[in-house]
Amino acid sequence: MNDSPTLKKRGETIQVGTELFLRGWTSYSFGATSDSGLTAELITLANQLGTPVASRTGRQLCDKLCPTDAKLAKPNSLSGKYSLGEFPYHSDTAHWLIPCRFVVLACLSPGAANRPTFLLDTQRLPLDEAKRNLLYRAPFRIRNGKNSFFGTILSKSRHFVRCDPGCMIPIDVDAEQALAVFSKERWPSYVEKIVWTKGRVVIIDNWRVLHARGSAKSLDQDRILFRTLVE
Amino acid sequence: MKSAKNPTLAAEALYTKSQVYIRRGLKAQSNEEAEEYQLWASLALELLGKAGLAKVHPALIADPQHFQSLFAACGRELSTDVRTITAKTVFERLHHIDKDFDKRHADFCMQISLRRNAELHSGESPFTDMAPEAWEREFWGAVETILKMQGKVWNHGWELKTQRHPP
Repeated sequence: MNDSPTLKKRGETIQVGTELFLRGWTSYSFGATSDSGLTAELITLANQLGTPVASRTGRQLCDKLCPTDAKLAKPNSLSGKYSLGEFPYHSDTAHWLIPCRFVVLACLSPGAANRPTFLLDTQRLPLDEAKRNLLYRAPFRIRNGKNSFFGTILSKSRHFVRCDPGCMIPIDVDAEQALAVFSKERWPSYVEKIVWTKGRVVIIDNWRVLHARGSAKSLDQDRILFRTLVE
Repeated sequence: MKSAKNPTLAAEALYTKSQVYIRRGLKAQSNEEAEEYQLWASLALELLGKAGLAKVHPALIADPQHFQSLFAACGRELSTDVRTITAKTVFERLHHIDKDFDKRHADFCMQISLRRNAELHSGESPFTDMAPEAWEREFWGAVETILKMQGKVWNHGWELKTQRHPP
C-alpha cells in the first residue's frame, strides 16, 4: 500500500497495511461522517490501494448500499435473490474474470437494526484435502450476461477465491457441495463480526476474505454503506 | 503468464468448459448414446487444447488475422468480438508445448474435429454407426497428454471417467 496522507495523519498507515496483509481485512474510524466527506475518504483510500473501479459500466466509483427489496433490486444481484434478508458469504465482482482486489466500505448510518457484516478469511480455514479438491474441481457457470463464462472457486493458476452464490450457478452436485463449504453455519469460530458505527471504514482483501450481510430483526433501509472497489 | 480479460481467451474458463462438456459426454456414454458421447467429447477436446495453449499465453489462441483479438489477448479490449484460431491450428500448436503431443495425437484430434464439423455444419451424420471403441482409446490418450502439459492429472477435474480410462 502506498503512503496514505489520510491515514498518516492518524499514524495508522503501517498498522492498516500490516493488518490487511496479515489477516486480510482492517478497519478504522474516520472522522468525517458526512455523505461527501466519506465518499471523498473512500476514493482517496482506494487510490492509495490501487485503481478504483466502478462496479458497473456508467456508475460512479462509490456505490451507496442499503437493504433493498427484491422487487426493486436488479434480478441478478444478491438483493434480487435474498431481498432484505441476510446474504451468504461471497466475494464482490465474482462475475468478473478477475474480481476486484479490495473492497472498501464506509458506514454513513448503521441503521435501526444495527445489522452487522461478517467476514470469513478463507486462508485461515482448516480445509481438508477433500474439500480443497472440491473447490478446485467443481464447475460453475458464472453469469454475467453475454460475458458469462465457466469457472471454479479455486484454481492453481490464480491467487484469488471466486465465490458468489448470486452469480455462480452450480453445474452439478459437486458444485453445490463446493458452495456449501463456505456456508454460514460451518465456520462459527472463524467468523469476524463487523458492527457498524457512523464513520467506520473497513478494507477487505476481496481475493481472500469473503463477506456476508447479517440478518435484521426489523426493517433497516436506513442502513447506508458506501462501497468502492479497487483493482 | 499474461491474463486475458475476455473469457473467450481465458485458460481457466476454457478448461472448466471442457470439463463440463466431457461430463455431458460421459453422461451420454452411460445412457448408451454413442453419437452424443462423441459429439461432446470432440467439443471438449478442442476446448481442452485451447486451454493448454492459453495457459502459456492467450495470444496463442487469438485469431492472428483479427487484430482486435490479439489486443484482447494482451489485456486490451478494443471490441467485444474476440475470435480464436481453428481446431487445426490448435492441434498443430500443441506439439510445440509438449513433444509428447505427437503427430499421431494431432492427426486423431483433427479427424474427430472434422467429424464434429460435419455433424454440426452439414447434412452428414458422421458419428452414426461408429462404436466408441473405434475412437475412445486415442481420445483419452490425447486428453491425458494435454492435461499433463497443463500440469493436471487424471484425478483432477476430469476425474469422473478415471474409473474406466485411460485404457
